[in-house]
Amino acid sequence: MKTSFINKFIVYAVIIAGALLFVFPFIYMILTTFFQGTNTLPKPDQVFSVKVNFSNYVTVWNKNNFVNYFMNSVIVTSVAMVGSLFLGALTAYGFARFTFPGKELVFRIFLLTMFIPGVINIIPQFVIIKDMGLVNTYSGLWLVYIAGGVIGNVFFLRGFFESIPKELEESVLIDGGGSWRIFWNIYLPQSLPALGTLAIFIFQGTWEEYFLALTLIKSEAMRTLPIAILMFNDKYSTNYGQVFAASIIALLPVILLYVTFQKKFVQSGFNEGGVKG
Amino acid sequence: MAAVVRRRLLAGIVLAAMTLGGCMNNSIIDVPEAVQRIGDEKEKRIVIWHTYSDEETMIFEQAVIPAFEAEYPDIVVESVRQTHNQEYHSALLARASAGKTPDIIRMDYTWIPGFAQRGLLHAVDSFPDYENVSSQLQGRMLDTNRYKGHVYGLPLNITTKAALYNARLLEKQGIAEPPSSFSEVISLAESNDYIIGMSGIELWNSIPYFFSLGGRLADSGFTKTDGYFNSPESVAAMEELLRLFRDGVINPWMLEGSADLWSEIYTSSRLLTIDEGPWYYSILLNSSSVDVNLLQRTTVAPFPGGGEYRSIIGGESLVMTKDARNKPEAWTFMSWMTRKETQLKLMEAGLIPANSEAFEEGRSLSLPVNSYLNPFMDGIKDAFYRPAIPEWNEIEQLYDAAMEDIFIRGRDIEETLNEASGRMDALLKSRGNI
Repeated sequence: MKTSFINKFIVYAVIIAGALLFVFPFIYMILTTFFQGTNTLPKPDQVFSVKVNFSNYVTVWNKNNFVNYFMNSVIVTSVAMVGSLFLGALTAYGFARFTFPGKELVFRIFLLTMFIPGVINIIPQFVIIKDMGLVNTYSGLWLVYIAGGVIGNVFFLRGFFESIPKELEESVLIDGGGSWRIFWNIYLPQSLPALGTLAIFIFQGTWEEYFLALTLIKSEAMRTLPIAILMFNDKYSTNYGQVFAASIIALLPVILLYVTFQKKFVQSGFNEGGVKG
Repeated sequence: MAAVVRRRLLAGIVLAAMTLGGCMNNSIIDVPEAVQRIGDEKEKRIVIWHTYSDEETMIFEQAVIPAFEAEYPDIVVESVRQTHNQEYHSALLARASAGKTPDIIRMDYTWIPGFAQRGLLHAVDSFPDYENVSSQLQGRMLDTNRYKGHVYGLPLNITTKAALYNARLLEKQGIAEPPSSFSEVISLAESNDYIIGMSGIELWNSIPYFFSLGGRLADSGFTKTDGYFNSPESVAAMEELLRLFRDGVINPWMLEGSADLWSEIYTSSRLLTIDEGPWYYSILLNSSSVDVNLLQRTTVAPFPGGGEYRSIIGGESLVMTKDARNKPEAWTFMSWMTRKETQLKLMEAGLIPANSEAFEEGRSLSLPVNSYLNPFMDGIKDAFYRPAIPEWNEIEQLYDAAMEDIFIRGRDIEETLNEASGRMDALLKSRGNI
C-alpha cells in the first residue's frame, strides 16, 4: 500500500506540475488584463502583485461596438455549428452505410481538399461568393463555414458511424422504417458523444475564425468578434491589457461549452449492450 | 414504402429550404428604406478603408469628414476602420481581385506597387487637376506611389524613426545636445557601460543602425544590391553591429525581445537610447500608466548619422481602387485630404503632413504635438525611402533571413551578405519579365 501511495503521489505531482505549466500563460494573461496602458507586457514581479481591477473589461465591452460583434458572432457561430453538424452527419452516414460507385475515390478527394491552406482558397472562394451575390452577408459566411466544415466532420464521424452495429438498423427495417429513420433514430442518438465533441470543435473553429470574416464582411455593423479583438491592435503598438481582456471575454463561451460538455467527450463503450448476443 | 418515399421527400424539401433560405436571406439590414439604393441616390457615397489609430480615427471621423461633407454636400463619406496586418493585406487582394473594394484605401506606401502590378488600382495621374494637387506634395514621397510610369496614390502622411535618449543619463554625462553621429553614441555607451536599445534584427528595427555604421543596401534606383549590400563597407558595418551586440553594448536581450524598452528608456540607469517613431509619444502621452513627465525624462533627436542614410521612412497613401464606384468624387476627397488645411488638422494627432506647405507651416504652429514632433520631421530628409517595387516584401524577407543567419546561427558575414545580395538581385532582375 505504501508504494502505491508513493506512486500516486509522484503521478499526481507530475500531473499537477504539468497542469500548472499549461495554465501559467493563461493566468499571466488574466493578470495582465488588470493593468492599465500596457503597451509592453508587464514583468513577472509586477504581474503577481497587481490589484484586481476590471476597468479594461469595462473599456473593451464599451469600445469598438464590442457587444454588437459579440452577438454577431453568436448568430454566425450557432447557425454554422448546427448546419455543419447536420450536413456532416448526413454525409458521413452516406459514406458509412451506403455503397455507390466511386465512394472511396470521392472520399479521398474530399480528404485531399483538407490539405489546401485557407489562404490559397480565399480568392476563388471570394469570387464565387461574389457571383452568388453573397458578399457582405452572413449567408455567404455560413455557406463557406458549413461547406468547408463538412469534409472534416465526415472524416471524424465516418469511423464512429461504422462502429454502430448493423443489427440496430435491421430492427428499424423490420419495423418498416427507412434510411432516414435509421439515421435519425439510430445513428444520431448513438453518436451523441462524437457529435458533442465535434460541436465543440466546430464552435471553437467558427468562433475564432478571422480571415474569411474579414474578407467577406464589409459593414462594420456586421463584423464578428475576432475582427473586433484585432481592432485593439494598433499598427505600431498593442495595448495588451485591452487585447487580453477582449480575448478573455471572447473565450468565455468556449470555456462554458467545454465545462458543460466535458463529461460527454468521446466516450467509449456507448454502444455496448445495444445488441443481444 | 410510400411512407419512406414521403419522408425522404420531406427531408429533401427541408434541406433545400434550409440551404436556399440561408442563401436568399441576404438582408441583415434592419431598416431597408433607410439604405440608399443604386439609381435613386441623390448624393454620391464614397467608402474609405483605413487603419488609423484610436486618436487619429477620432479626428478623422469627427472633424475631417464632417468638414468635407459640409463643403461638398453631394458627397457622403463612409469611413471603415481596419486592422493593419498580413491578413488585411490578403483580404484586400481577394476583394480587389473580385472587384468588391471600397473606393479609397489608405494603405502603407510599400503595398502600392504590389496592388498596382496586379492591376487593382486606378492611376490617379489621369485626373485633370492631378498636376496641381501633386505639386503640393513632397516629391520623394509622391515617387513611392509611382509604378511603371503612372502614379497610383497620393501620399497622406510620412513618418520616420528618431533616437530617443534617456535624459537623466545625458545630464549625468553633462551632455546638453544629443550626439549627432552614431560613433559618438557608441563611445558614450562603451565608456559608461550603457546600452543602445536596438529592438530587433528585422529590417524595420535594425536598418537605421546598419546605415549609421556605413552599411548600404542598393544603388539609388534600387536596381541592384551587388556591390552595395555585400560591399566591404556593409560587411564592416555588419561586423561592428555584431561585435556591439556580442559585447552587450547593443541590447543583449534583443533576440529574446524581453526588454521593455518603452518604459526603460526613462526608468533605467543603463539604457541610453532607443529608436522609435512619433507614435511613442502620441500613445504614451495619452496613457494613464506613465506617471512621469515623458518629455522631460526623454530627449528626442534625429537618428545619429554616419552613413548614406540615417533612419527609414514609413507612411501611408490614399489609393483609388480600379473598381471604385464614384471615381470623380473619390478623387475630390483624395485631393481634399492632401490639401494644407486638412493635413494640419491631422497633424494634431501626430501625423506628419506629406503636403510640403503644411509640413513647413505645421512646425511653427503651437500644436501640443510640436513638443516632440520636430526632431522626427528633421530626420526625414536623411532617411531611407523604401523603393516602389512589388518585390519589396521579398527583399525584406531576404534581409531578415540574412540577419537571422548572422545573429542567431553565427554564419560568416561576408558569405551571408553575398548570398543574400545574389538572391535580391535575382528578384530585381525578374521584375521586368512579369
